[in-house]
Amino acid sequence: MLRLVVTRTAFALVSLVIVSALIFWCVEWLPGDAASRILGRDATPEVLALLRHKLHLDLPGPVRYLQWLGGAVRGDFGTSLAANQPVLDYVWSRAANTTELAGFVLLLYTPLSIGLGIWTAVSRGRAVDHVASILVILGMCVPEFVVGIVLIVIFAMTLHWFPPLALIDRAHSIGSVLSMLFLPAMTLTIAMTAYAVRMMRENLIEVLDSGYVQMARLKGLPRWRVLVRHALHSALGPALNVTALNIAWLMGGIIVVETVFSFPGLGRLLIDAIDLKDVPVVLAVSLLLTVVYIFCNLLADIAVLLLNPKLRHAG
Amino acid sequence: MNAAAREALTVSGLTVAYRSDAGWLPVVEEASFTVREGEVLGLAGESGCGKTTVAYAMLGERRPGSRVMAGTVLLESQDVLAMPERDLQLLRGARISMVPQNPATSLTPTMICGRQVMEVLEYHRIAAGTAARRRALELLEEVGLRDAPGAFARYPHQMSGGQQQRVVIAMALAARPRVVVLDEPTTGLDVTTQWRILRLLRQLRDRFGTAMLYVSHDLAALAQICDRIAVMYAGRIVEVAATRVLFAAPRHPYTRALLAAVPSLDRPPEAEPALKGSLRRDELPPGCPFAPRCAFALPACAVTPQALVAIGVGHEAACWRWRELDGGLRALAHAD
Repeated sequence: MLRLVVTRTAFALVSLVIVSALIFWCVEWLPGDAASRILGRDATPEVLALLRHKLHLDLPGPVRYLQWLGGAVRGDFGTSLAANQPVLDYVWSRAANTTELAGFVLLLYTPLSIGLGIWTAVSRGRAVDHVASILVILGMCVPEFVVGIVLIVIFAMTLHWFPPLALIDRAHSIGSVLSMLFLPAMTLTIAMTAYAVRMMRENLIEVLDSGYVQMARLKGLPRWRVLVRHALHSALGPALNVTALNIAWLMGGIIVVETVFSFPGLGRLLIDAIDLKDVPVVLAVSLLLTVVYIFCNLLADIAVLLLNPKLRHAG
Repeated sequence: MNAAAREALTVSGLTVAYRSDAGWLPVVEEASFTVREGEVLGLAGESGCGKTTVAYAMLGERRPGSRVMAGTVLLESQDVLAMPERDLQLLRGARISMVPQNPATSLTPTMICGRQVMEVLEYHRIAAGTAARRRALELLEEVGLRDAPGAFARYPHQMSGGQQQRVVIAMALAARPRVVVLDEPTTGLDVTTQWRILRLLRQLRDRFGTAMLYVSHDLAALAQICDRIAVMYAGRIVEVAATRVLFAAPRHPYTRALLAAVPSLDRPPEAEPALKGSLRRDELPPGCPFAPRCAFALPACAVTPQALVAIGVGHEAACWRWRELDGGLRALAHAD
């Protein structure tokens, strides 16, 4: 287990350097630079040159990357070119908003996917299962911005249950924060749950057909005990792996959903920063998302290891 | 075995069908037999003859896609097949239990073996807490696991097939049931382990007087443990006799062929297999199901239904020609 954590962490550090270099060059390749974006179309060449010099944009790309890397290693992620603020301050406040959203999503996702997974597996072949299967396929193939817009039309425009925009910076009570978070969280939850329910259902059906579940029933154990102690345990492992993949997807989904709901989170920040070619912000946000992704995968692998005695003892 | 011993399990007219494209296809037809207290009854037959379906039906377990069309399974004068789920739960593991074919897949991989034994004690309210733990350890010792505390704490994958089967047997015997159904319990094990498990089962039977229904295709294993053997073909029981009688004087042509198919050192491997062809469920004649493969079949056999008839003390066979075949074969044997 310790070896897994150490090797994964080393691997993560290498990945982060590679990701940062890749993203740096991708943003570099976009036409224009931060100075021209900030000053707009009417800027004179002299003013542009001055701003470029001030932002060190006149230095060659590799030099700027190495400067940034040197700072990042020491925990200094630089200053936002557009906002002239330390990047970290800027990113943290947005990250807090996104964490609230992601937390809410996981709060909805976990019980929903486990509950629906069990329900559809246990009632396989019956009407409930068929209806659920259709909904799951819908949830998987309809893109999240469409789901988001449909939810806005139904619950915000028609029923007026929730606000259409999630401007949580302006919310003043927990109730209003939750009601603003609800629609974007639902949008993300629908797609994530669809994958997890499908996975959970298939695993659980396989486990329910296994010899040991039959044996547990033939021992005279009650149904819930067979389900919880003998079946679920084995079916949860693969579902956890799907959850790790889902969280990777969530990183991307959040960018789209935050745009649909005008949510002031990391995703919006990333899009705005790319627009302004604000390289330090783009790098900081992407690296943060990468770290979260790697960490979630590591957590899922550890959980699978803990759930499966065969793997636990092999390690 | 004492013929006057009470009956522990009485099966009459058991008919089980599986769903197929052509409707319900009977896989077990009119099976009737009894297992007396302390007796081991063998159920022999080729794969696909319906013996496993019979085994699971004893616990009221319907295999997926199957349905009990008729018959009763009486355990202590209660019909298992007519019981609601709730009563079955109280019955299973407590008064009748199962030892399935593959111990590797019968034990839950995520639970230590000791807990799996303890569960039986707890849910049937035999013991709880530390008492259940102690009892589980005793049971693991009882089934011959040398290091019982070690076995208790181990996960199934940390054990050999023989040890796993011992744990399953400990589970099956934990509540001291009257009847244990064993479905090919030694098939996946190597020969020495097989022999040890069979010896253990005999000891447990002698010690606790547990009645056993031992389902197997392995006649050598059946010969070692069974008091009586019922031979099944295509879902029907075609012959029942005491083990010694069945091996010495089989009457049904199928039993004879089955016994002749057992490899032996006394006999050179014959060019022709004793049992021709294979069991084809879709080509069963309306009469004797064995007629298409029977070396002695007359045209009339295929259209004349056969039922078990008493042909000796405790000996029944479902062949109308048993008497003439007997004479003919005896003459053949003398000619050798």
